[in-house]
This record gives sequence, C-alpha cells and structure tokens, in this order.
Amino acid sequence: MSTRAADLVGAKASASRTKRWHSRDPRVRVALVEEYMPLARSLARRYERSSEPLEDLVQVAALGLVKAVDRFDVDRGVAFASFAVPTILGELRRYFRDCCWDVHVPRGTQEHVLAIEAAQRRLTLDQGRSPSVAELAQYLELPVEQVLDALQAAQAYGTVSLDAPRGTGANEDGGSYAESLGDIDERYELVEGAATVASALKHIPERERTVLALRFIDDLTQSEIAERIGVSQMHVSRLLRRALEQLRILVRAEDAAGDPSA
Amino acid sequence: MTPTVRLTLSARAENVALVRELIAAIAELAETGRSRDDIRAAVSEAANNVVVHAYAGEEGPLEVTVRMLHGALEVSVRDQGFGIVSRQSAEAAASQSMAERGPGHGLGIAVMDALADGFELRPREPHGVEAVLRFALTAPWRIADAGDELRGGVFEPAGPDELAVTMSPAELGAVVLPRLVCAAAARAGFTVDRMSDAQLLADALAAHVVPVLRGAVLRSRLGIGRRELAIEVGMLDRGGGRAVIADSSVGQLGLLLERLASSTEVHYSDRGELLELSIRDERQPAAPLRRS
Repeated sequence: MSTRAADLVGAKASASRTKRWHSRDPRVRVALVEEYMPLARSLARRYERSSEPLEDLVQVAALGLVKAVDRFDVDRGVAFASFAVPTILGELRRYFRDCCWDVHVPRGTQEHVLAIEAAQRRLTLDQGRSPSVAELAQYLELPVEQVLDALQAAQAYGTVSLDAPRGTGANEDGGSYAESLGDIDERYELVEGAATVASALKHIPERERTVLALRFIDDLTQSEIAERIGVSQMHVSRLLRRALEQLRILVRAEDAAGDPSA
Repeated sequence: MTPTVRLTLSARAENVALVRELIAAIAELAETGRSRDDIRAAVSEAANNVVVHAYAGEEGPLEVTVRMLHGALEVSVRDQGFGIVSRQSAEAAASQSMAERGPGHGLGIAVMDALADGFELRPREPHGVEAVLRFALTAPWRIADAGDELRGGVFEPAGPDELAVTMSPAELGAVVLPRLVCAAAARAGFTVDRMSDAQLLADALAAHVVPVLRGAVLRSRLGIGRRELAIEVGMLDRGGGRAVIADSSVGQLGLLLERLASSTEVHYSDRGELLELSIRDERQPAAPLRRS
C-alpha cells in the first residue's frame, strides 16, 4: 500500500481515513503493527529481567501493540505512538505481575511484604503518621535491611493481594477508586500546564492519574492516599512510581515525534 | 570502557548496609550462577572486614568499585588502613593455603572464597588492603559500555555521614541512585512515606540529569542528616541544573523535583554545574512506639 500507516493515524485524520480505520482494514492493521514493532521491541527491552528471555517479552509487547491497534480511536486526535506506549507497557507489567512474582521474589520476602503491610497500617493508626523503616523493623523484629528489601520487592513486583483493593468484595472490584474520586478530572482542569505533559497525562491509566492528583494536587501523603482508596502504602508508592515513569516515557516519545499538529 | 560504579564512604558499621544496597542494585542486572543473597553476603563480608580491621577504631575511607566486565561482575573493596590485622590477613591469604589459615579472621576469607567464583585479598601500596571478588556471568550484560573511564577524585565524601558515588555510563544512575537514596533515607530516620518521596525524587533526578551531563560520568554525593538528605549531582553543562528541574515538569502537577525536594540549589565551578537537592521529613514528633 502506498499510504504509510503513520499518515493514516496522524492527528488530523480525514473522515474517509477514519472510516477506513473503523472498518479494521486488515492491511492497515498489519502495516501499523509492522511499523511500530521496533517501538514494542524497545519497550520490551526496558523490562528485561535476568530470567525472562527477551523474545518472550517482545511477544508480550507485540500483543500489547496489537491491542493498541485494535483499541485506537482516531477521533481522539492523538498520535498513535502516544496511545500505544502505555498500552504496551501495561501489557508488559501485567505479564510480570501475573507470572513472575513467585519466580523472582523469595518466599520469605513475600511473607515479609504481607507482614509489613499489616504493620504499616497498624503503626500509622497508632502514631498518626507512617512509621520509619527502623520502627517497622523494631515492631516486626526483623533487621532493617530485610524490611528495606521487602519494600523494594513489593515495588518491583505486584502481588494479587496487594493489587486488590482492600475491604471490597470481589463483586465491587474497583469501585472504591471511582467512588472516592469522581471529581479528579475536574481538578486537573483547574490548573494549567505544558501541553506535551498535559496530553501525556491523558494516557496514564485512571488509577495512576488519580493517585498522582491526590499526591500532588491534594498534597496527601502516600499513607493518606492508601487509606483513602483502600490499598496499601506500598501499592500507592508503586502506582506513583509507575505513573511518573510512564509520563517520562510518553513525554520523551512525544518530544521525539515532534509536535504532530505543527 | 567497562561500565563501572564506585562508592566511597566512611568505614563504619552502619555504612555496610549502603554497600549492600549498591550491590543488590547491580546484582539485579547480572545473571550469574550465584544467588543475589550470596553476592551480597560475600561483599558485606569484605566491607565488614574493612570496618573491623582496617583503621583500628579511627575514621577512614571504604571504597567499593563494581565493574561490569565481559563475563564477570567484579567487586573490589579497598581501604587505606594501617591495620596490622588486615594487612597480616592479606599477606597470609596471599601466601597460605586455606588449611593453614587460623580460625579467627580466616572465617571471613573462607566465606568470601566460598561465595565468589574468584577471590583475592592483596596488600596495597603504600598501605591498605584490597579484596577482589569475581562472580562469573552466565549471560552477557544488557547494558551499554561506558563512554568515559571513571577517574576518582572529583567527588569524595566530606565526612562520616556522606557518601560519594560515581557511575559510568550515567544511565546506571537510574539503577543505583534510587536504591542508595532509599537506604540513606531509612538511615536518616525518614517515614516510609517520605522515603518513597525520596525515591521518586531520585528516579526523576537520574532520568533528567543524563541529557545535561558534561561527559558520560555521573557523580553524586549523598549527605545523611537527621530526617534530612542532601543529594548532589554533577557535573552539568551550563544551565544544566535549572534544565533538570524544568524537565521534571508533570504538567498541571508542577515541577516534580521542586514538589518533592525541600530545597534546590545550583552550585557553579570551573568543572561545571552541580545540582543539590535536599529532602526533609517534617513529620510531627512521634508518639512513643508501643508494641501490641
């Protein structure tokens, strides 16, 4: 085909292109996947872990790319790459979250993570602020280093238990976020910012955006956010780190691609 | 050039934890036949040896150099001590077989010998001892070679509560800095909340400093106070310090580094700019800790 996929998904797609997009023209899909495969590969490389063969990760990233192609809405007027990056990263992270905890984190550390989560809640309630690492270590009768290790491990790899919102039944899964935070988008709109970052923020998953807003607009501590949305502080910390990293990647990608509307 | 990280700090017992964190961070990049716990244990042993034997109770430097060689992770732990015991150990290790070594300080040597794929303990001239531990890789490194060779000297820790870390290539900062900053924050008595903030700050700093560095070497110095950390990075191009802060923009949320740091300062020298951020934990005084 003579039309490059990139032209097709440029910010100002014509009505006919949009129509063609929505028709899921298989040639367009194939061309897009081919064109953006290097992007998927480079993102996979960012998630290389010693025991995960790169090719497996590239497969996972490719799957994310295909999902991105299928879900992309050309009417939103954003460049395809900005949409694809978080989708692919999400796929890679899900892969690590679902498959890899047992492989990488020693059982002892997993148990420590759960014990720390409980201790943090307890001490935060008792003291009205989050405990220091030394206080956690003292409370749990563990060496400071093991507490640090467990905190690091909890961040690098999610667990099902840590990812599930606390105190909600399986049927209400996810409800706790939406209930407490309906007006987050409004608050985002109250303050102005750089255009690139503003558009990048739109591509951060809602959960991460919410946590970012609570931390940096409402100025809550991570423990206060944890309490508010019903997850552990470690989970909040992981969401923040992930969101900020995604933002950096998105901003870099958009800067590299240049301003699509120019 | 071989990718290298060098950490210099005071030879004190509480600093061994920082050495272990550095090793943990680097070990995550390496695929070896040894477990990460083994690597950490072996290097801790070498660092402890310096703390206990090198300076006979006086202050002195402990220098850890991690080299990502083709085929091996190499960790060198050095002191500049006059410690008779350490020197004797080194000379003994160089000349005796394991069976001939006495039980006392021979134990640490046996541990290092057992946990590493290669181990050497040698006297340094004019004084001091160097322990070199090698861990064979089972798969190649997945990091780019360093652009510039590391040379010591520009950043040295100025006191017992400071550490200096130098990295080449600078991209290693993303691996090393957040880890060291967390460990330093824990030692400074930060709450877990504020420690996580410090980690976010280190992430952002490591990411945004690379494009404005003068050369490929990232130098950083951490100062550990009471509920306060100072983090200095350099050497930056002219205007680099302000650029790092500006690049940390999270749009509507402000400049991330300014939001997280308690203060930001740019220092100028003829070698380039230095960006210094401080982060404090200004929590309310703690209620006494009680156990349940």
